Amino acid sequence: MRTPRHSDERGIALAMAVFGIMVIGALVAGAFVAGRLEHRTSQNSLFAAQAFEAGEAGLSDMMTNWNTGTYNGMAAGDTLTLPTVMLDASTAYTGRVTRLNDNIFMVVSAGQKMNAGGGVMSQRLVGTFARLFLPVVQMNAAITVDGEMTIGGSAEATGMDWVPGGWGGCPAPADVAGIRTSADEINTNGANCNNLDCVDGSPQAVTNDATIDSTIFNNFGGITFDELAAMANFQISGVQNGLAPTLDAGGRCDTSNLLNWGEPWSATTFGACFNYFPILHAPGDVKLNGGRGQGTLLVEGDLELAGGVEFYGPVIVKGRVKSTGTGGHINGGIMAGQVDLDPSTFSGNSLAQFSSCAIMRALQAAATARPLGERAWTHVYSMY
Amino acid sequence: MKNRRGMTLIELMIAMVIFSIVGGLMLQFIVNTQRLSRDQAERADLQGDLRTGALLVPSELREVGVSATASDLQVMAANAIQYRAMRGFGVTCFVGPAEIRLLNTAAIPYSGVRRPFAARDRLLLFAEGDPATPADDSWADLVIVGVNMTSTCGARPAIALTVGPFAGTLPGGLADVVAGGPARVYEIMRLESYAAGGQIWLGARSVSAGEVSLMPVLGPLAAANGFQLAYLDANGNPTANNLLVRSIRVTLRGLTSAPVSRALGQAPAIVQDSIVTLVALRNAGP
Repeated sequence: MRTPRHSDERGIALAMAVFGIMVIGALVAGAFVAGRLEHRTSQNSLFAAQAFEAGEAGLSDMMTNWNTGTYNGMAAGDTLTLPTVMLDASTAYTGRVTRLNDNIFMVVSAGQKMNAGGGVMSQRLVGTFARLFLPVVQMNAAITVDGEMTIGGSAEATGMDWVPGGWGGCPAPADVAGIRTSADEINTNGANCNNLDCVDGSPQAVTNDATIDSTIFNNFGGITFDELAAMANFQISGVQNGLAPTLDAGGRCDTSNLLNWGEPWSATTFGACFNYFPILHAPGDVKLNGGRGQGTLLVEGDLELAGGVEFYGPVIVKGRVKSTGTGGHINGGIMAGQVDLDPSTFSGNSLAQFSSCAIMRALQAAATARPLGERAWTHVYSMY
Repeated sequence: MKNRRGMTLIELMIAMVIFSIVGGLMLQFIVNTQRLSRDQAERADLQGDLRTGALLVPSELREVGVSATASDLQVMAANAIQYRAMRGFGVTCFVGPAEIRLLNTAAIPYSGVRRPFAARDRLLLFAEGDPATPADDSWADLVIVGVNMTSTCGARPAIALTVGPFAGTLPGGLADVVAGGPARVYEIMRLESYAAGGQIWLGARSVSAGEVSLMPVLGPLAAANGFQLAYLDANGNPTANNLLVRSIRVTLRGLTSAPVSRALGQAPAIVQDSIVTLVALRNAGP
């Protein structure tokens, strides 16, 4: 019997099997590629939607938590890029704020969807034009008082609108009364104030002013006293000695310093604080003793001025304002329940000087921003 | 005896039968797989179309502005919408009676889907009026008659737009528009379903550019209600008043362009799929 040899086993089974495997493999690979393509396309749509929503969340976040201290102090044309905020493990937004002019800002939020390694899978940019909503403070005099007031000695109150030296972007000066009061008379003390000689303005003074009531101390246009107080940069109390602008190690205005209330004087080495107008809130009584500062001062108790302190901006006091010692200079305006600038208790060079410019700049810094009433929201196609 | 190698006739016949059966099965498999693959591609195309529509239409409509006194919605029909489509924005650095310049610097660039075009685009300029109050804020509408992409504002790059005379109602005219304010470029667009080649498509045309024919955007769509729009007010109720629209519900019903298999025993047929998107108008309100 003959032993079979391999060379006798002819046929095409192996070739057929290989061919079949190739065909099936190609079909499976094709289906896999098509499926993967579809999956990736769907995933990209999902990533784009997630990035868009992250951008929207960022925009909403920035507008809701408007940083008055930082944004409102920016000069026109300045841009501030904010640190990236993670919304969850894979979505984030990066905000950017550009000041376009005195009142208008462009706020852009770049929403991102990222992979586990932090690589950006998708990015969408959305923005909104926002404008500052200035508190409307009815400050039509150097001193507005709801009740009795006494002025005397060398103290002065002038409603002649004054622009502090070196300040720009101010409204056209418009003179106002030196004093407005709801009472029927203004008490004077000392020869210097006979016949209200220490009061200047247009008109000099107004008594029995029916427009003065508690409303003007609590409602400032679309914002209340409490809302404004809630936005305060600092809560203050007791005695504030030696207000002075300070810079941090990087030469920026040191806004963390409780006694740094900005730099009202122009062309000094503290120019970085020139646009810094903090909101200062005293829940009770407070005394300012010497130095200089600017901003919006809100006092729920009594305010005492001493040591020749200089302050620029609106001062709203629910209690009394009192000057002692060398008193103080308020450039802007004072609103108070009662005012006592009596020289018998201090060496009378207190000054209440009306300045619409100081009031406006301080209120601009205190203003919140809201989207424009019309056409605020926009797609953004290149990073602002 | 002679050595007889090879196969007998019976072996050969059996081999041929087996080969035929295996070959037939393989052919059937290949045909089925190919059909399945084609069907999947059709369905993927359909879903891709719907996805495109769900991105494109909201992207177009999201910026539409509606206020108490004016609306960007010019035509509101169930299968058509005509609106002011925002194409870009910039910040003014010069405002004159016949020329407006927009900054185009690295820090403050003109930002848009495309550059502005004369005759096709119009310009909206923010007019602040009294800076102390937002109550008198408005937008001045101007026609763009010329575009210079390489202009300057001082030393800064800018886009100069020659504009037609202002015919609006600002108290101070264009003097109420201050440099440094926002400006928007827009054109009037129309989205509408239309029939072509025996099928329904979603088309778009620029009304401002004088386009008469709709350009196909996606399709084919279902004949009766392939592109449907519902205009909703602040409470989600349908409204025909273009000043009250706060959101638009967009429904797209797409069709495969060829019959596809559905289930065993069923003949291939055109398949329909749909997507519904609610577009909240970001600039409508309050």
